[in-house]
Amino acid sequence: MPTHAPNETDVTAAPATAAPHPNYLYVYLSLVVLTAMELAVIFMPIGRAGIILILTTFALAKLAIVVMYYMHLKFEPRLYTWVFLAPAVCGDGRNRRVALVTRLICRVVARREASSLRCLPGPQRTVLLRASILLPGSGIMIEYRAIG
Amino acid sequence: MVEATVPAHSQESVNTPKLGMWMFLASEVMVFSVLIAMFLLFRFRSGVVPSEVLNIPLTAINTFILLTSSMTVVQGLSAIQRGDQRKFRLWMILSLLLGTFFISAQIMEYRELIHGGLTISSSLFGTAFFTLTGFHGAHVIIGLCWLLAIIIQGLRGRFDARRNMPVEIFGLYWHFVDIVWILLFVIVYLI
Repeated sequence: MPTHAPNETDVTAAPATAAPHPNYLYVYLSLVVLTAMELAVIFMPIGRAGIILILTTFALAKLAIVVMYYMHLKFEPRLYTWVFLAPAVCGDGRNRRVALVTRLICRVVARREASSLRCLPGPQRTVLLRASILLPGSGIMIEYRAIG
Repeated sequence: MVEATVPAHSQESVNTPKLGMWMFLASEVMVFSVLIAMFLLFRFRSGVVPSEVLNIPLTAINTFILLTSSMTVVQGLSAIQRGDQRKFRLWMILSLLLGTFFISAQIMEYRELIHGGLTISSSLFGTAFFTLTGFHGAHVIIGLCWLLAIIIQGLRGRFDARRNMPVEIFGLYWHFVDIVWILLFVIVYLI
């Protein structure tokens, strides 16, 4: 018998069914190729705006690849994606109307994703949901207002 | 004896430590968003062209190193999830070496810049550059300490095919540090 048998309350144990593993070498090679292309782009005879657009696109593509495949967000509950993207969604918090709309979106998302937290007890689930969805969004609004 | 049950790894189950880590990473997104916004603001006000001041070839090598370390961390996680202790230790030690190389190269770059007259207090660009990259460097150093702890625990046999959540949580942090660098490399050095 294993020394540390996982049980229902053992939150440090890994899930019984592992997510499908992508080929990490291919993922790595795609990141290397995109980085090499970034370096090549800065020597190309194209306008500054074009370079910025291409480099931003490549950087976002690399970011998406790492988040989806190395951080396994593609195979995880969607709640993690919402939590991670909440600050970006609320990025334009300087505008009060935009801030209100994003808060509304956060609430809708929180209700939609409530089913994915069934494994947690009721009060804990509610607190986690509200904190995970609303706090990052509110925080970025405050920070953007301070800097703007 | 009652059979142990763990939540299935599906779209319907949420793991509390992982959710906590994702919340922490969301707060880090906010911190780095503001730092990047500050850098862009100061950089355009200062009128400095980074490619004329910064060492792009060294940073490009460093970027490949950090990307490689992300790959080795995820390979280490994959190895321990299969129960392969030897490969897990090897990949993690390799990640530690790559991370150490990254931070050493960043220190070299800082020394070069400081000798060239660019310090945190010399100009708006210097303040923005050292604050942003220094904050990222601090995250790498914290990650290296964490990784060292993971390796020591791994050598003591604390992880196996079923008990590897701390490795996965660490991996999330390390990949986040990697994606921040992916953005910084473009925003600070190339644009």
